Amino acid sequence: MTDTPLMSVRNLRKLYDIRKGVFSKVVGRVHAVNDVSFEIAPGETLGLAGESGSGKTTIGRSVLRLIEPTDGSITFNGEDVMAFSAADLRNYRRSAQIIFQDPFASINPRMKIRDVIAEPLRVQKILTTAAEIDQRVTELLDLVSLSPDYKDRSPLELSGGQRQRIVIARALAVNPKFLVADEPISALDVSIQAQIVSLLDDLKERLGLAMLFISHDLAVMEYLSDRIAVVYLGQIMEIGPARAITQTPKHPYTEALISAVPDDRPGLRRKRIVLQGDVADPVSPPSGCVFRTRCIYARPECAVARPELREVGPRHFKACIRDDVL
Amino acid sequence: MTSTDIDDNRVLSVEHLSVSFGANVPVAVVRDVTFTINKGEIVAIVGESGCGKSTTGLALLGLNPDGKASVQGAIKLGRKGGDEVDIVRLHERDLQRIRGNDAAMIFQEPMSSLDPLYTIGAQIEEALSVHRRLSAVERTREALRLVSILGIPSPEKCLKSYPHQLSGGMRQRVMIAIALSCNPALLIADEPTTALDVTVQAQIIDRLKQLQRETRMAILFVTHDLALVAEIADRVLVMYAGQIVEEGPVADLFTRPLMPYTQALMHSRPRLGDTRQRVKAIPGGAPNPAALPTGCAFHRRCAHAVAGLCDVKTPVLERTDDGQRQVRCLRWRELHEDAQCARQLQGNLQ
Repeated sequence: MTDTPLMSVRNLRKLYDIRKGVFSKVVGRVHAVNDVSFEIAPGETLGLAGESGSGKTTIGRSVLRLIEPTDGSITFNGEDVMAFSAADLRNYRRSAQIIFQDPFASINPRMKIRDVIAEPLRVQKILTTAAEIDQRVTELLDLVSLSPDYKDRSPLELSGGQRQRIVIARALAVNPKFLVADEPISALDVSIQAQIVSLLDDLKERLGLAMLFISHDLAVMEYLSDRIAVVYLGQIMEIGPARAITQTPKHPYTEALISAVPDDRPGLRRKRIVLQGDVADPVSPPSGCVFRTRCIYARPECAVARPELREVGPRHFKACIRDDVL
Repeated sequence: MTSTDIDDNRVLSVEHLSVSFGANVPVAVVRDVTFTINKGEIVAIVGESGCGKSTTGLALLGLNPDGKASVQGAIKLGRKGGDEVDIVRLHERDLQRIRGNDAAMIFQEPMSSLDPLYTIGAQIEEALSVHRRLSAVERTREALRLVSILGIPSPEKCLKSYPHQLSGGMRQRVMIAIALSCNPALLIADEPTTALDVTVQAQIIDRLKQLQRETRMAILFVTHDLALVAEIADRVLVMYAGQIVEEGPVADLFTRPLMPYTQALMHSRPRLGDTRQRVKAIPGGAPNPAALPTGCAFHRRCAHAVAGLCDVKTPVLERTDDGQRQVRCLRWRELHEDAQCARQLQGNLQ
């Protein structure tokens, strides 16, 4: 990996106000993302793992400014994303794109496939003549292994897997350097998931695409990511090389998360750590370490201060005060 | 068949079950499915969407819509009293006595199974009042007990809550509590943890296994997740295009899958910690039940299909020589021998 990151996120925070009453008085704030920092190198895939409600999606949308972060800094290619004007943002979307979970909700069913894929080319005024656009749409369909016959079809004729390929082709139309993939396979059938996983794996290699891969599926994440960040209640608990995170997790939350993944190899079963209770309330997160209320190794000290991310291995950091357990 | 023919240990015996939809041109989504479940056994049905696994589960409680679905075959369920009924031949009124009482079901999305206007306590007590004779006080006590054994923190508070106030994991526990309220001999669980996080899934699976051991209840677990099957089930049925294509004990089936479809499913998911394995996608999608391919239903997606054989001859479900397994593939014997040779060769090289 090169030294200059493509994307650098510093102290990102997103709070949502909870309003009540006639005057919509703010009665509380949800800490969706709370002081998150990470970097992504060109061509690198960073996986964001965590349970529902951990803030993964909010982080993914914030870095593209599809959601306005409360504060923090986001730098892309040396430019300050937070200072972008509307025109700058449009330019930014040439380099940074997103694909969503549900391919049925993210395509206008009344458009033809060719128009779905060509829309970003037109919006960004990258290509103008019909012939050029047609040529590019053919290329993009080929990129996602669909034949050119699909151009004049309606999205309604396509299966979930085919739709997700169209969504990927549309995102790649502008030749982005960076892609946020927000649970891109969760809505698909098992055998189709593998097709999309292989496609994404192939594309990032061929196009040198950097990716923020958001998923709750740790096995797929390990497969596709160079590094993994584990998020809990809007904070990064652990971040490091994918294999290190899954093979030798250093944070108790990561350990529990990995131990919960079912495995079909008899005899290779991991020691199961069953977390008790649910994720704590993000409106009033626990003091100190936010995970301590469910942590089997928690001590009174854990309630005192929020643990900083500390280096525990090469490019491997954890936010936990205990070194004696993992 | 008289009751003396029935193994004492048997809870459910499904014989040649077929379910088709559509009046004019009936489309069979479950085709000639035969299997049994014993007391205390956990059997899993796995397959992709549309393979007929959920329809099979629904048929077991007579839940396929009347008039729309045509159900053939026999579904023999042992009742608590020891007698046996054929679900296919029962009327709605009799089915209602069976549902919840002898066999219960839980679904993927607990929110759509719970009534948003009633408290959790009221909904558990409703289930109790239908099948069990208890006083109001006893019902409340029993509801509290059920919620507690499912590991819900602060059970009293939970009983007073409405469904929307609970998390997905808690709601699914409540559904399980309702399902278990009448001590059914069989629990049908249709993707019960698919909508949940892995950590919550682990909690619920552990609790379900523990309760199953204590009550000796049988479970039919319907899922698409092979790894989860390996963790929970004793025996697996793999379904494809409405048919059982492979059947066997979990450990054996996962160490040497015989049907190419099962093998392909296993290779289509990355495993945590196994970086040597490349994901191999199964090409294409599941066949349309209204236009099934000739010969083996899987042949168009199968890496081992041979032209002139697999697209012509229809495979039957064959039993292996040891009697432990069943497989529906024309080439399973030769493929299995090839695989053994390859393994041996690899062993010699190492």
